[in-house]
Amino acid sequence: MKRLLPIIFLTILAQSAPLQQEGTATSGIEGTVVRIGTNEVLSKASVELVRVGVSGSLTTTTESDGRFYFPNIPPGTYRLLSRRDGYWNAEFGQRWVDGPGQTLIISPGLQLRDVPLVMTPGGVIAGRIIGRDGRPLAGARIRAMKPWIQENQRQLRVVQEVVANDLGEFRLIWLMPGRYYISATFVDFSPAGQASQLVIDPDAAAGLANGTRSVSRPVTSRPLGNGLEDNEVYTPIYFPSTLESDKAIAIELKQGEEYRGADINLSPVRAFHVRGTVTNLPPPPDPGARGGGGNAPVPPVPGAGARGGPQTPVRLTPTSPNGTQYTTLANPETGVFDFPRVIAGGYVAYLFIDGLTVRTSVEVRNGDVDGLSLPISSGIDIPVNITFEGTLPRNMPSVANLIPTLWRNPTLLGAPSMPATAGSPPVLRNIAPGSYHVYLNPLLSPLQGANPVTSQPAWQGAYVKSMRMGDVDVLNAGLRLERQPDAPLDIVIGANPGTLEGQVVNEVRQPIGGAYVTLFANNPADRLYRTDMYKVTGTDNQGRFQLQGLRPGDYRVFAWENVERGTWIDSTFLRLNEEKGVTIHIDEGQVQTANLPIISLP
Amino acid sequence: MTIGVMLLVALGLAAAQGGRAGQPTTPAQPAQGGQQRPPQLPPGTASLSGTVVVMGSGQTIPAANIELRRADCNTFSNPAEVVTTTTDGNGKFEFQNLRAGGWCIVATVAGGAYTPAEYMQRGVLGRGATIPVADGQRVTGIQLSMAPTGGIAGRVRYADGEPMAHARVQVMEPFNEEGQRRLYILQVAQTNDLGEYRFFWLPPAAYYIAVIPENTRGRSVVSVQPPPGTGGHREDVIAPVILPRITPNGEVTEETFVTVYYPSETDSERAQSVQVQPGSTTSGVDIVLSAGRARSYHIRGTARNQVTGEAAAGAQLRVAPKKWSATVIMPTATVDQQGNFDIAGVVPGSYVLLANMSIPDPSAPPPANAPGVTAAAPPPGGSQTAQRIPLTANLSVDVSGGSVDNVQLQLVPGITIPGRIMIEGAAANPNPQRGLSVSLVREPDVVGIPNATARGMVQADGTFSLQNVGPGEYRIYVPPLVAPFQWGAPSIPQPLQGMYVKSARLGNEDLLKTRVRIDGTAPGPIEVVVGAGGKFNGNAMNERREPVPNVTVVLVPDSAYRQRRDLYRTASTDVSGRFSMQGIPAATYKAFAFEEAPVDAWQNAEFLRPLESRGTAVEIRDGNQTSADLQIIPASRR
Repeated sequence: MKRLLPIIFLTILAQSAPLQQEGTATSGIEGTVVRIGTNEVLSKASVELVRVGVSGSLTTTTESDGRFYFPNIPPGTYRLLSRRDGYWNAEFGQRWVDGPGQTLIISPGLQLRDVPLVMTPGGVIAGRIIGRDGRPLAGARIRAMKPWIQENQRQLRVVQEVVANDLGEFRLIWLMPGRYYISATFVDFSPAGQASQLVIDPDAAAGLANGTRSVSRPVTSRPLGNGLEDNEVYTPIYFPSTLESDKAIAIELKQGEEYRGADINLSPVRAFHVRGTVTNLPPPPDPGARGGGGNAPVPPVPGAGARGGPQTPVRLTPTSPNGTQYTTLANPETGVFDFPRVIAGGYVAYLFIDGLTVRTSVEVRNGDVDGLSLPISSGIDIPVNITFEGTLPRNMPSVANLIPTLWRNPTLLGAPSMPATAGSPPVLRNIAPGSYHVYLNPLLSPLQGANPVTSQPAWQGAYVKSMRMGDVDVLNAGLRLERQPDAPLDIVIGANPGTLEGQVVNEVRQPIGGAYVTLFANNPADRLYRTDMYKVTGTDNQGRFQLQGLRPGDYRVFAWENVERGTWIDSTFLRLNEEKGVTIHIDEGQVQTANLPIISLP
Repeated sequence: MTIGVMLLVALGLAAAQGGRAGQPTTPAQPAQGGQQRPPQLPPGTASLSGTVVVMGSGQTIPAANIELRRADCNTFSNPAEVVTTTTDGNGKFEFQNLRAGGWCIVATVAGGAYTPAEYMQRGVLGRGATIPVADGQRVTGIQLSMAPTGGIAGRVRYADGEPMAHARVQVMEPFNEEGQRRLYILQVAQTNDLGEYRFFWLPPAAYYIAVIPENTRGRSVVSVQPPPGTGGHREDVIAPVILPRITPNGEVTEETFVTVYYPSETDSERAQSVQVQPGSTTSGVDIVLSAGRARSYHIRGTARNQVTGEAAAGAQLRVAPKKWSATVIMPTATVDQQGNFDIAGVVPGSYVLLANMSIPDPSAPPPANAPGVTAAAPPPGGSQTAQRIPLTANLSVDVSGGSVDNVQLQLVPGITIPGRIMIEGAAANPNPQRGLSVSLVREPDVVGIPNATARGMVQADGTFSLQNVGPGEYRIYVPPLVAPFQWGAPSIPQPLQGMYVKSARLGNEDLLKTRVRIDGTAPGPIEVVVGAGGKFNGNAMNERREPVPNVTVVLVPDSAYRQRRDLYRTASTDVSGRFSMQGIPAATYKAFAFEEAPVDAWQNAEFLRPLESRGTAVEIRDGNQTSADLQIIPASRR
């Protein structure tokens, strides 16, 4: 992430800002797409002109001269974006490859010519996958990953996947400069699904033109297998050579660089049985309907089989965020379950039945684990009182529209959510003893990904002021349930938020435009849960920013340049830069001012 | 979305563990079955042994997996018994304590370096011959020759020479259907940033290569890499890539890409094959995409919901080409709130424009609000999840040199078509219709179209009902007697063996001969007659009148009926060169015995034309046995 783009646009903006005389004179934008640091024009670039606040856009494709034309456009405020194979998505006004863009203000009759759109080529991470026999492992799956948040846990998110060829070689391509974690694994040959979706753009949505059908040629009556013994399994190996994602070493890819040597030796690992019994299973609704459970395919939908069906899925979810999750079925009559191929590590075995989560910790070290017990009992009901402090502002919805939802702490990946049943008061039903986070949709919702939860306009200014159960401060200390509590959960909503504004400056007090400002709860341990305290904004040309609607509390604020968007949720990254942030306190209704030093990454 | 957590499903593993080390076991019960296991039989007294070698070199292969199943070589599900073992360091294997019966054997090697091998197979992917085993017999010297797999490698470039990355490259395999060669997808890979692709794990054969740019920003891409010998007959639907261009004076034109076959053809019939030799990679199979760039146009119009008379907001529109291809590049759009639609990316051609939506069933009772069903909050949008009915529209559209505007669509509910199957001579069996179903499949039968099939199971009284049949042109199937493509012979329940579909009529239309147009009015019931067919047996012999095992015997209908897939019958000769088949429609045929031929090659007129004179005329009559000895057509003589 070395180079900042030259600041060539501010003059254009300054020229475009003065209003021309109103009239019917048509406006237009034209320009050229060029490769960064060169005069090389780029063909095949898809240039999109988006009018801010208006749906729809104009798109054109550059030819060999790299030129794009948007004649006859109405006056307005525009964003200008460019996409091209091999390059990172670019936007007019960016100060670095992933920086925030700036708008173009087109007044009547204004003809903008020679607008340059600068594109940065992606990098490549290349390597080889070698199997345990020392030969190339054709068909291995390699993933490039970045930090992100899934179900309230820090995770690595796959940003690109490729398949190793028969020489074991792979190339992860078009990568933006930044830090990448690489893993390799071998996916079982499944009887019907030899096809696998490869991630090219993790944010892509499947369109309507999506489908396949095939008639596979049978060869054997049983799955072909991949040459492993019964007690072996392939599991992702992280570069350079670890099973644990938190010991993986990130590859720091520079702009346009080709990193060779991301070689990984991919051998299967020992796997063990984890066996146990679910006790007090409710009787199957159709007694004697089937026997020999635990042998049938698990429905892939979490919890789908749990609603009264005879097959109760039991899950084994890793305590480390990127581990492998396993699912099996408990025998409906005996409750016995068996996970046949579990790799060593820490897990939580759990099942979810009628709203109740039954769980137990499991440590798989160097042998089979037997005799786990998952007893089903009845859970705890917690009534929730939600009140508004003072008078409910006009146009704000009733607090009855807020949905309290429990999340297990730590999160159980893939477990169903536990919203309260609607009612007066709403009740969190059949909750097993344990630790939880309480969310209140939509005021306090879990993060998915790296972007802050956007607040709904109807609830603008409202926030969770407090959450208490008797003497316990649930909002700050979490909810620990051991038995039926004496008091309901009391949630108070406030609507007197504060504001933070200021300027981002460098070490010689010059303002920095186009920088990111991120705001978090001051205590790093609270940051994942307190998503209501996580905000991101950008600075304007004068380096100014403003964040409104802040709930009162203690925050830490950071101003970044030359950083890939979202990197700041990576705990390692944040820990390294923690001291460069500024602590601030926001009081109710207060406008707080802070000048922030820019954190310019090397 | 793929996250860094893999859901491993712990199942089927118990099944994979049974029957190791050459000891017979009863195969695991089917997952959904729930029947009792059959009683344990005493172990058998026969044995079978042999060697696995590399085809060509004869070098032995250690650690190959051998599956031996007591079944015909076309039967894979529910064989009577399955035993497995692996070869030793010298490529040898042995099974002991086998029961008497016909056994089929196959060798596989994990990792894709070899093509699976069966006993006495004809061609690299031919089916093996069933080995007859008697009590106490020692069968020795079973040799299984595995062909090393090969690969195809090349580069994909734009017309200006720039390498194209993330192009979708396909290895395609020829099949013969409806009298034509059709190329189906076997493997799919993507080019890297240098434009390079490499296919591997390909059994030695002739293949075709095709390239289509994919919209990598619109969806994730697919990698299809079946282990050798297991994939195939695949069709995919993908979205077109649309490249709009605005000229300096404001004119807007759009281009897209169509499939380009190696070396540089957009017509699959002009594609050139690429030969893969055992154990080697055919490289330099380079493709330039210039031929695939084409002007594209729009189809615009309005869509109404006929039930409500309102705009068909949210209806999904798909433009399906009438000409079949395994990779359907399908322009799509969604109808907006005002009922307008605008579909981009359509290249000149003949299409069927299909519209789909669903509405709450107006005839269904309102769902009861059951209190306290679950602890969960009600799903967004209320609780009326069930009781929806599909509405569809279906319109032919031809696109030539420009966009098509003012297309008007009416989405209508489907109709219910009742039907009845009559099974001649059914009195002998209590439940002869069990396992039979009837389906109508809408044309064009391309992948990616919802609600394209209406299927009804035949009830005990012989009736069936096809629900929600929308407007369109349909063909009939009566599985398993008349079924779409499958590998090998269909699995026909015992009471239906020897039977065939004599007729299928809807009013005056003969559904076995023609497609039927359904347009929203009930055309009356479908009447299907199933009767006992004829039988045909004999021997296949070479020029010296010696019986030849494991050759393919085919009954080809008279030239007027060659388009009728339901009239072809095939069988293989056993190890003594005998064949038999049953359930044959009464008609005159030509019988051929091919030593080696690709699947369904005989349905291709060009394949059969030079061999026509070598067929033996055969007349089959209902319920009667016909016999003939056939002289084989050697592989080398084709």
